[in-house]
Formats: sequence, C-alpha cells, structure tokens
Amino acid sequence: MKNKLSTVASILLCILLAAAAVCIGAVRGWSQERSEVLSALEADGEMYTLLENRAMDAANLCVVAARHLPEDDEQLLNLRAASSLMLSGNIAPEQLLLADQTITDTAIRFADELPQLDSVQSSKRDRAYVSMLTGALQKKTSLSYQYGLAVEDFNLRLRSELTGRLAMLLGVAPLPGVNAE
Amino acid sequence: MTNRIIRLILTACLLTALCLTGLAEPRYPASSGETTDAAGVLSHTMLEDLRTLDRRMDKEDTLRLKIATVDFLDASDVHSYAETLFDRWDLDKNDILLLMAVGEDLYAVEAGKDADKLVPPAMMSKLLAAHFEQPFLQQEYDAAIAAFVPALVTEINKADRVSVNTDGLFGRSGANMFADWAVKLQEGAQTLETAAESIFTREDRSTGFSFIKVILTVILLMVIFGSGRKKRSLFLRILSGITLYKIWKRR
Repeated sequence: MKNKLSTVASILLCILLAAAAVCIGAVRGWSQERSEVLSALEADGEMYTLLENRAMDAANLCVVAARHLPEDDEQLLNLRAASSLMLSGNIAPEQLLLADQTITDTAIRFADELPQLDSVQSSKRDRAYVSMLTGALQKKTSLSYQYGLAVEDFNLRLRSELTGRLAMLLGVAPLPGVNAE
Repeated sequence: MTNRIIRLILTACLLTALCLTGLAEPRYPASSGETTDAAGVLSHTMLEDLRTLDRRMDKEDTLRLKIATVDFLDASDVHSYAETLFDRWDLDKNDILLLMAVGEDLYAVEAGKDADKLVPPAMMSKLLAAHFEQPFLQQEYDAAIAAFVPALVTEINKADRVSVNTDGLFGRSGANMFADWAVKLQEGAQTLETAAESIFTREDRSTGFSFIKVILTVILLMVIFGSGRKKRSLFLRILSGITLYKIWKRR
C-alpha cells in the first residue's frame, strides 16, 4: 500500500514536472519568436524609419486638417495623439503598431471626408495636400508588406499549434498587424 | 544606502539613454544651389532670376541669399528647422537662408554671424513684414520673393557699401531704371527747393528776419534815402516805404 502511494506520487510528480517543462518551454519559445518578429521595429531598423516617416506625414496631415476641422474634432485629436506618440521615440513596439493602426484608419476616413468639405474644395493647395498625404498613409510598401506577412504567419502558428495555444493561455499575446497600406 | 544610491544612478542613466534614442528627426531637402524649391511653388523665371542675382552677389563678394521651400516641417518648429537646415547645408557667416514652409504658412530666416551684423534681425523682420508676409500668406510665392529680395538687396548695398544690381530681375525691367532716376531727380529737386525755402522761412520764424527780407530792406532803404531826381525819387521813395511796411507788417 505504502509502495503504491509513493509510486503514484512519484508518477504524478513526474507528470507535473513534465507539464511544467512543456509550459515553460512553450512560453519561452513563443516569446522569443515574438521578440524576433518585433525586432524589425527596433530604433535602428528600416521598419522603424518607415513608421517614423508615416508619423511625420500624419503630423503634416493634422496641420492641413486643422485648417478645416474644429479644434476638438475627435479624429483630428486621435491622429495628433498617435503621431505625437510615435514621434516621441520612447515607445514599446506594440504601442507603435497600435498608433500606426490609428493613423491608417484616420487617413482612410479623412480621404473620404475632407475633400467633401467646402473649405477644402475652395483651396486648390489643400485639396492637393489632402490627396497626397492620405494617399501616402494608405500606401503599402514592400517592407511593411513583408512585416505584415511575418506577423500574420506568427499569429497563425500561435493560434493553430498546441504549444502556441498553451503559450497564449500563459500570457503570450498575438501581434497587432501593420496596416501600412 | 549605498545600494539605493547605485540604483538611483542606474535608473537615471537608463532614462537618459532612453531619451537619447529619442525624438524623430524631420526630413530635410538636399541643397540644390542658391534656391531649393522642394515644394515646387516657384516659377522657372523666378528661379532664373535668383540664379542671376546669386552671380551678381558673388561678383560683389557680399552676402549670399539662399531660399528653400518645403511643404511641411514634419512636426518641427520653423525656427529650429531653419537653424538645422542652415547647419546641414554648411552655410557660413555670410549666408542668409529664407525658409518657406508653404503648406504650413510659416517662414523663417536664419543668418550667419556677419550677415546678422550687416542686416540685423530687427531690420530683417521689418523687411519681411513690409514686403514678404502678405503675398506669402496669399500663396503668391513669386510675388513675395519679388517684393522682398530687391528690398533686402538695397539694405545689403547700403550696409556693405556694394552695388548689387537687381535691374532686369523680379519683374523690374531696364526701363524702370530711367523712371527711377527721373523720380530720384525730381525728389532731389524738391528737396533742394524745400531746403532753400526752409533757409528763408527758418530765419524768419526764429529771429523775425529772413535772408530775402534783409536784401529787400537794404535795397528799399537805398531807394528811400539814396540821392536822385526829386519827382521820381519821391514816388519811388513812397512806394519803397509802403513795400517796406508790408514786408515787416507780418512781425
């Protein structure tokens, strides 16, 4: 009886240790892979420069939009906040991607809404600027396309593989996408 | 205690390092000579005129004017942008940089040390306000430069004792040169006239005497008290007396 109990306890302990090892391994492995994908957004990376340029274009679009929209326009405020955050430099990669998403969404809306305003229609200069800037902010570059593919691939594998799902349960989040379109 | 201090120092170093990885740099255009029209708002004629002016200024060995147009400042302040652009383009103490951010309706001037001495910032601001600002804000960029640059060159000519000529440039034809001379001659004549007049009137106001009045008084006194034939002299003497009375009556 005693022997049985100790055997069962030992087996359970082994299973627990194995499970713990699998969990730790899953979290470590997927976290590392996640970091590798995000390393493209590091300060000296090409992707980072691309996002910086987009943030500057967003700031320029704010200048033009502010001439035709009220100061407290929500989309204008969001765009301004997103571009300021991205240009501040000290920002985590995930925040960078979320801010960039805001910029893209706002650019799409502004591309539709701003040219319909009378004040924009009466200014040849601002019509050209709105078209140029919203176009640039919606345009996909090959670099952002490649990054988008890398993100998609990571997220797909994270969700489909067993260890990936386990890692998600233990706190490894999927990556937000880059919509540099 | 020691550990705490060490931790504080490390935190400060980390924060400093994070700050230094810091703010995005705006995009600056590469210099393309005396005028860099990155925004594409200046006409071909204006670019040619600026090129010609640059050659004339180079001949006189005086200050040089650089003009840059950009669409936007990439979230930068216009003065900081101009300052950085001045440094990036390796402009020197004799250079003046006029930056026009046409998409933001902002402009700034950055000048080298010697340029600042010859055309002080206060004078530069005056010239910009008087000649440049209004057409610039109305998006008439050629007109803004055409009004501002000749005025600036006039100031440079005065301050540096050179004679850079802007004739035939910025819409000013050679015929205008003669018109200008005619105006200047007329003004000069008027000035002389006013000066002459003021000599006579100035003395009159301050002492009651004027040059012409003194002369007339002497002549009239000679007529009144001088020798001559009785009849004509009497008539003339009376007339002279009346005239003298009228001259001095205003006192």
